[in-house]
Amino acid sequence: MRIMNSSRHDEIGTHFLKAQSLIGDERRHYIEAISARDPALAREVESLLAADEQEHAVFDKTENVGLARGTRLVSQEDMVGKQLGRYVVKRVIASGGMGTVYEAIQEKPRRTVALKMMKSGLATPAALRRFEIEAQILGQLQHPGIAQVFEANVYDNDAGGMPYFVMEYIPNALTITEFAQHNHLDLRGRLALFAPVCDAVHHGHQKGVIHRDLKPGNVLVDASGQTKVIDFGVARATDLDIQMTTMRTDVGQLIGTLAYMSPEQVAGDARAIDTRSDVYALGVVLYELLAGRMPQNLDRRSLVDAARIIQETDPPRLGSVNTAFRGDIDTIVAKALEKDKERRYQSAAEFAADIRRFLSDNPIMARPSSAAYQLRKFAKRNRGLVAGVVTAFLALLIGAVTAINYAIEAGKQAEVATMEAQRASRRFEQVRELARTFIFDFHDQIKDLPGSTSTREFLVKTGLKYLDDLSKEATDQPELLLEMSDAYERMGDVQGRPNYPNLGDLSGALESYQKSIKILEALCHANPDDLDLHRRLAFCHNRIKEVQTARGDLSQAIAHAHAYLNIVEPFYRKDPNDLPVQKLMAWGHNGLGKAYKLLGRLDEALVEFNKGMELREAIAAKSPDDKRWYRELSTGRIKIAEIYYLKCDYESAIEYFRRAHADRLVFAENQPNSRLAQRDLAFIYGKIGETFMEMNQLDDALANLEASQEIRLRLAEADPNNVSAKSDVAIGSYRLGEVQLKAGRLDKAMLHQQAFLSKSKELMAADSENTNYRSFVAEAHTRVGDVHLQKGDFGDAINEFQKGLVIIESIAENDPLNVSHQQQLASCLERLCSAQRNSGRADEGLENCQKCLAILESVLEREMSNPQSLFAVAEAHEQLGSTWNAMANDVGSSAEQSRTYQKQALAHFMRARKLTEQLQKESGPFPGTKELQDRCDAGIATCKHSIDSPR
Amino acid sequence: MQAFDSSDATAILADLCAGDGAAADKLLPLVYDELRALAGHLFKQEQAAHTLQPTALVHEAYLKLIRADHLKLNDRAHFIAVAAKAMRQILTDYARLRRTDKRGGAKWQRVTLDDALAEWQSQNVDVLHLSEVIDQLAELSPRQGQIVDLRVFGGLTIEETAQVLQVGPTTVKSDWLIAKAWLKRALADPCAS
Repeated sequence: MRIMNSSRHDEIGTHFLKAQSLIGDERRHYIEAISARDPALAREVESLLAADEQEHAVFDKTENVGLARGTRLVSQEDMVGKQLGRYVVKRVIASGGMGTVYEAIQEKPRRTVALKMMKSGLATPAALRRFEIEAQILGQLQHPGIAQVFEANVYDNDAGGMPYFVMEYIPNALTITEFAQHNHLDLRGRLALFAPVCDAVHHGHQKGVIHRDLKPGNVLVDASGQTKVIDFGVARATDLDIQMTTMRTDVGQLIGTLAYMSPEQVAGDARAIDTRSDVYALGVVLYELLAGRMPQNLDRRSLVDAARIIQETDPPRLGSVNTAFRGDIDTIVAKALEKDKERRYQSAAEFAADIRRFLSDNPIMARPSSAAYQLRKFAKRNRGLVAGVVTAFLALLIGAVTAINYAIEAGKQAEVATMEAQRASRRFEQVRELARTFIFDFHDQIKDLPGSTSTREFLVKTGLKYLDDLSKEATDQPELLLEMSDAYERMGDVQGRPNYPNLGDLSGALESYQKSIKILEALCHANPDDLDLHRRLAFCHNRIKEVQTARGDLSQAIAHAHAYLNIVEPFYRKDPNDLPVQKLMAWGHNGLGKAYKLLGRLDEALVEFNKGMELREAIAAKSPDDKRWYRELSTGRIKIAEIYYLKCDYESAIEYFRRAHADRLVFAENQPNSRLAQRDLAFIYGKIGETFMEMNQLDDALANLEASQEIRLRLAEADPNNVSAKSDVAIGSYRLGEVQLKAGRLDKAMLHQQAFLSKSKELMAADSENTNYRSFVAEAHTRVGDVHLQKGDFGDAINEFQKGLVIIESIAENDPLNVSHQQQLASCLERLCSAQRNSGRADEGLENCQKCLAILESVLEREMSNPQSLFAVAEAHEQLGSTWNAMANDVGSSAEQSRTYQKQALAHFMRARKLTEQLQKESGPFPGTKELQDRCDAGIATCKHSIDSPR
Repeated sequence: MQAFDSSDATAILADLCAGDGAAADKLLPLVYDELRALAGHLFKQEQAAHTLQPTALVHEAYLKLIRADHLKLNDRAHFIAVAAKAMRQILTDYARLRRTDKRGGAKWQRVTLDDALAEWQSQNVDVLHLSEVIDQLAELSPRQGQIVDLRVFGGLTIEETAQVLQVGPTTVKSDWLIAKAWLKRALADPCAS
């Protein structure tokens, strides 16, 4: 035991430092001298010296791991005016992450050179030696497309040797992308400019040098149009790439460079980097040069995310960015950008050759990837997930096996045990097989992998096959059965759970959920008091309800919502005060209410929502301090308010929204800084605003919508990286635009809708694969078009509608099952038609209106009993009637044509009228029906009049 | 979940840099939570294990919590100083949890923190023991203790450490050499304290 105090510690430290700075005999003499007057002190120093000799994982690593190399807090030494060897530094040309480039004058022979001073010193003698060797090799690179390195040397300062390179100075240089833009080069011009860059890089490769940092900033073009690759091999010579990829700490600078790095470079495996890594970087440069954007948007991503994207996500094909690039050029760029370097062009020369084949209209060598290859790639990408899920399954198995062992110990007959064991082992094999092939983590990954639908379908099918096999065996083991039902439920989720990433296979999902239900029903039957089992069963019915809702089979949805309640109700009757059961019941009523609401059975919906509300209030009364429950209370009130809104009872709606608001305030008070609470408030103000808008109390509407927007803006400002906050603001602008439009303040409406458009575009740019934001942009175009339409600027309106249409069409094409896309598409077509009709182009409008009707009819077919769909079809008929009518009135039409057109118009008006009557009969009053009927009646009258007394 | 946002952290950091020492205590829980959340986040991202170094986590936390455009460079050093403390806290909390309860902690937490520690663990570094001896060193020389935290858990260089502690780099370098030797000895010999 050492007795120690601070001053003694300091004394030992001082002597240790001194001794440590000495070597050999000198050190020995020094310690002997201490020992002579204080032997204990000498022992301390000796033991520290001995300990210090030992390498230690923590401390000796730390020596080399400074945080964020390159952005050290110490400022760079200013080099301007200094002399380095035979160079005098004149001015800074550019400063980047790796170092600073200066213009310098060489004395003999006198010429201007570029001098690049690296930021990091060469820490070790080994690094210095390698730098010298690499520098020699770089001197040998001589190619018109490569900026020549004249000299590489080390500048000694207090921070240790700073390496610098002296290179050919390229006056008036532009980067390759700047040059192409400046000279307005077209596709062929850009390709012709790019091919020689590949040649130059290939030359470097032949000399054994990999560039490692190819990006537009390193591919310059001089005034004569000659491309010059700069910084060849600089990264390697100074170890910078290895530092970058292994350290991964210096984010700002790194993200920019990262975008051009191949997956193997990003992985930080220096040995995996070869000439094909440069081919990848060239591919990124070409993509950017052609598309005017990066293949993948890494802005605002964390490093970890960025690296993952590069390693796992395929960039959107060039042809999808701009249809002009579809075909060969798309294939060429995609081949250069393959994640697997074996599948890229094997050299820069091959890459150049294919580009030249394209330019001379010869067949290219690159081929699009096959389906089999896509499948392998999918599996590889998800390797981590596969491993994770296999582990989870093994854990389940171990549980089952333990149970069996327990049974054996409990004295079951040997024979039974053997049978069980055999079954278990077979099951083990099967499940393992299952895990291997099927269990990828569909839930979160699915939506991020464009174009993998067929692969996923295959996987799901394989998974199902094994599950079905298993289910034949598992007839009597509750544990196993429960597992099975879970598995079916998950499978159903993957196949078609609405609002979650799914395959859109709704009937497949139903089948899986039904299988799960069948198992759970048997289990519940055997265990009538087990709440957990019944809860699972109820939730499974809820899943079916969701799917049926999405399919538009609302009567089935209601049946399953009832089934849910029937399952939970006995528990509720047994103990109406049991909190978990109360919550289950509240949700159940809510679910049923939602289904009634969609069906337009608003009174029944109201009854259910009110029942749910009573339960919620009972729960709140029980635990008044649970402020979080106030959120549930408020949600329940909003549901009720929304029904009143639909029933056009706007006063009651406002009343409930206000009470919901009060509840949210309690919730918000509890969490003053909570973004969620603030967001909720903004949402309610928005709802109240919308309701006032319906009531035509536009000032109140405006006040509430503005209050809502104020919160949204504040939230977005507080968190500029938060995408959903930004999208809330976009929606807020949209609402404000709508109310101003209704108030006839067209200029203000236009400002808001344009804000909506620009915010939506920002959102889309940040996340181009997110369908929501693309559909925002489409909607914004439509709304801007609406304002133009009101202003009477039909040409501008048509223009905006068409822009919107292009986007919605591509969204709908990718997701044909999604009804809301179809509806958006139809509404845009309808507006376009109306604008065209108004600008005297009724014939063009006709086609769009017919398309619109066809879409809405197919939607109605899927959602037979949805009043909204029926109303939309009626509206479309009315529009079509108006369009035919406009054509009949066109001066270019002959009397004969005019008569035919009027008859068409009449038929559509009458059809529309009939549908509204059907709607009223089925669903009661529906907002807008009266107005629509009036329009139909007017149309019918006009047509009849024209037919009876032709002009 | 505790409600806070990046503006909170940025504001507190500004106080800290303005000389309000108590601000460090306010910042610590924010950073602590963020670091833990980050560890979980990284796991969800299926992130390759080798990037989960404690210092990388600290840096990510800085990027997430602080709106850096409002701050001067040396503010970051102050943040890292707090984060380093939080990081040590997290690692030791975790190691203690695992020692007392093999099944403790959410699953992701176990996996990620294991990854974060993997490098040290492969060298048989016992974080709890390490933390104890650093505390002992800090008793003898508070500055040396601080330097160890900043270098080991914050990943700061000598120069950065000097800026945070407002002493010369030479002082930091000497102290670091002594601290290193002292800790190595203490870790190698369990009786030597």
